[in-house]
Amino acid sequence: MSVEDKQGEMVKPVKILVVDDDRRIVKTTCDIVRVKGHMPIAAFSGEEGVATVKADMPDCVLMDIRMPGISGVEAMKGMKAIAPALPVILVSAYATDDLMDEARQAGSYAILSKPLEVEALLRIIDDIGLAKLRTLSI
Amino acid sequence: MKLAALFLDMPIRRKLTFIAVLSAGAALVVVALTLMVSQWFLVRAELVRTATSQATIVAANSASAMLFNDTSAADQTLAALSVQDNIEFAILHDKQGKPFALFVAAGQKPPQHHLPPPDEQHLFSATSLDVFQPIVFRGERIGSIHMRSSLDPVYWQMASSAALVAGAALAGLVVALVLISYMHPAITEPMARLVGLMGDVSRDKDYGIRAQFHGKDELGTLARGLNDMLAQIQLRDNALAQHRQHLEDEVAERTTALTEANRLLEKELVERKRADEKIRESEARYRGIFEYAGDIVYLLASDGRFISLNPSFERLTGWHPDEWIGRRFSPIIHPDDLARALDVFRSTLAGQATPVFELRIAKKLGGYFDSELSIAPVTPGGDIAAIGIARDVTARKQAEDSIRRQNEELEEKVAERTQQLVAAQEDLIRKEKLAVLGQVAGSVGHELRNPLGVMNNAVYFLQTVLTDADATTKEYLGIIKDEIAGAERIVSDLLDSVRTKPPRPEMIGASELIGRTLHKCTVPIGVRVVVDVSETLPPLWVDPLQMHQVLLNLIVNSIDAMPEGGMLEIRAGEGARAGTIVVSVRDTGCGMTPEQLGRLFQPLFTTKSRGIGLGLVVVKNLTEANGGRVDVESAPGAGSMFSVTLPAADTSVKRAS
Repeated sequence: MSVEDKQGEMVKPVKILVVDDDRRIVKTTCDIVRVKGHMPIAAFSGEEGVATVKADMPDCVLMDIRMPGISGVEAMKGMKAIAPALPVILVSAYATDDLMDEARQAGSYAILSKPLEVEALLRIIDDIGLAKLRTLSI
Repeated sequence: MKLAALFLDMPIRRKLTFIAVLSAGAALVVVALTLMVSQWFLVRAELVRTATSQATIVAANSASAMLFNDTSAADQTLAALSVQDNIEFAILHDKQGKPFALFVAAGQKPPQHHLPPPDEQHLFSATSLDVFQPIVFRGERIGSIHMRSSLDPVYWQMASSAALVAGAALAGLVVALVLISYMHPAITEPMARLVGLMGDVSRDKDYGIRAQFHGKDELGTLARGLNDMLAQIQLRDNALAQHRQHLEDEVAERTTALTEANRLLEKELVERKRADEKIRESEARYRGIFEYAGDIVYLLASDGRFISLNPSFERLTGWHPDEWIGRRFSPIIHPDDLARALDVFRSTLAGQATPVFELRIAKKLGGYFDSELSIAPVTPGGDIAAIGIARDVTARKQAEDSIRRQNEELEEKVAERTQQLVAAQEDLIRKEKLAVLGQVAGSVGHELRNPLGVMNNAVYFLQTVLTDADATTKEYLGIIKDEIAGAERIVSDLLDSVRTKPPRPEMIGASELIGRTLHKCTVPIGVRVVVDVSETLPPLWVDPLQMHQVLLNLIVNSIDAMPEGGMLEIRAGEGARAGTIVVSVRDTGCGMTPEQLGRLFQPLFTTKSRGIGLGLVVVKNLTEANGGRVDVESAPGAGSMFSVTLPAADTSVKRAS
């Protein structure tokens, strides 16, 4: 299903940064997003994710909370420091309540649980694309 | 009336005389009156004829004198009337009515002048007859004559006739009286004889006398009737006399017999008195036992009626013995003991001895008391069929009951304590297991979820890309996807079983929740699903996601319990307690043994070949976290039913807030 198929709406391909320490997750997620007509960028740690945001600003970020090195929440704080309006979607396999609360307070766009419900993720990405389109047309 | 009464009281002889005189006298009077009247008319007619012919003669003789106006000749003619003594006077009147000539008899007064009537006529007065006659000459009326005759001769003749008739009548009466006096004895004598006979009979009571009778008249018949009557009376009198004689004989005979019987009776009485005294002594002894026994002593008839009850009966039951004597014993026995009591009574009637047994006896003021009963048959012959004693054993019974109750309570307490210990032990085991689980769950969950996520992504990718793949490939992709979901549920259960997130309750309808959960399940073809949610049910007040997981686990368990297919019933209705809703999931599957039921909520306990035994732990944890309760009913082969009792949304309060 391509972006053009979506009832003729011209959703601009969304540039999405996928951050996870599990390379297979990153790969499969990027492949799905690409097949759906978006532009995925891969990163394999929090630090790499923050660096990528600095170098190549994505439209949104999909990031695991639990990672070696800095956690997803800390990485998000780093990204928000660079681009405060950047929508960051956090993914949790087994997060403690404290971490979830912190994520929510730090301004995450959405929190999804693992394994990902792909349909839900795609809906969120489409929403972000539409919002971006509206901002541009204004 | 008085005359009639007088007549009735007269003797018959007088009556006969009276009747004869009266009838003869009446006949004579009628004849005499008839004669007199006819005589009167005959004499008068004779007088008129005589007077008229005399006047006619005088008139004819006087016609010439009148024609020639010769007064003296007229007087002479008139004077010829003096021969007739009854003529009082005669006058001739001329044509104009003036007196022409007059004749007056000696001693008579001349008449007053009056005009003569023109026609011939005669007039009667009380004493005389006046005759007027016209005097005619050659057809011309030349005058008239008026002549008065005295009626005295007529009266004389009438008087003499009357005297003659009266004399004849008197003579007739005398003859009648004479005849009567000769003839009346023909009637009065036989009557007098009958009267005399009756007097004799009633005086002497001699019914042998008979009346003499002659002739066949009424009196003869009367005499014959009297004789018949007397004959009958005589006959009856004789029979009575005979009977009286017989009676007298019989009375004499009876008196003799009675005297003998009396003598025997007196003898017997003396004997009886002696025996009675003995009996009385004996009875006094037994009466004493009966009256003063502390237990109820009773006598029963063969139909179960009380014949006798001693005073202890009133002391123990409250009823006076008289209230029960004559009544059957059944109503006084406790209904549960009655069948046994009747059995015992029957075997007693059959002559069998019965050991002492216990039963409950009613009290007048309600309730029963425990009694120990003995009963023995009484040798047949009298009214009494059985005799027995009932002893109040309430106190003993109460002591026994109290001991038994204490024992029971003790046993109950032991059982309760044991159960508590078992529960505590189970809880301990459960907690221990959960603690271990908690340690591993975190890492295992995370480590499993990543590969599951990868596989899920891969399948999704393939399903997206391989839109025109063959059916088998698509089916297999589906299978992989379902298995991943299954594995994911195990991981979720594992995580949820060791750590329950605080619920976020919302208002949600039971049917919406059930629908949403069913949508998530893959129901095999052989399983029929029935959903029944009461329409008036208020919404639930629970965390939708957590309850969704509870229902999902229960439904998946139910489906797993029916590998051969069956019926899955999901119902929601109001709970027994107000403000609660019960959602139940029932299957027609294999069911569980009591042993399995006991361990049902233990972590890592499972009846499935596949499964780690956390689903129901999660159900219990989440339900309890939402303020609910889980109940199970199951039996091997009869299926299982899980009922989840949950709080209902208090709609009134929620709306207000």
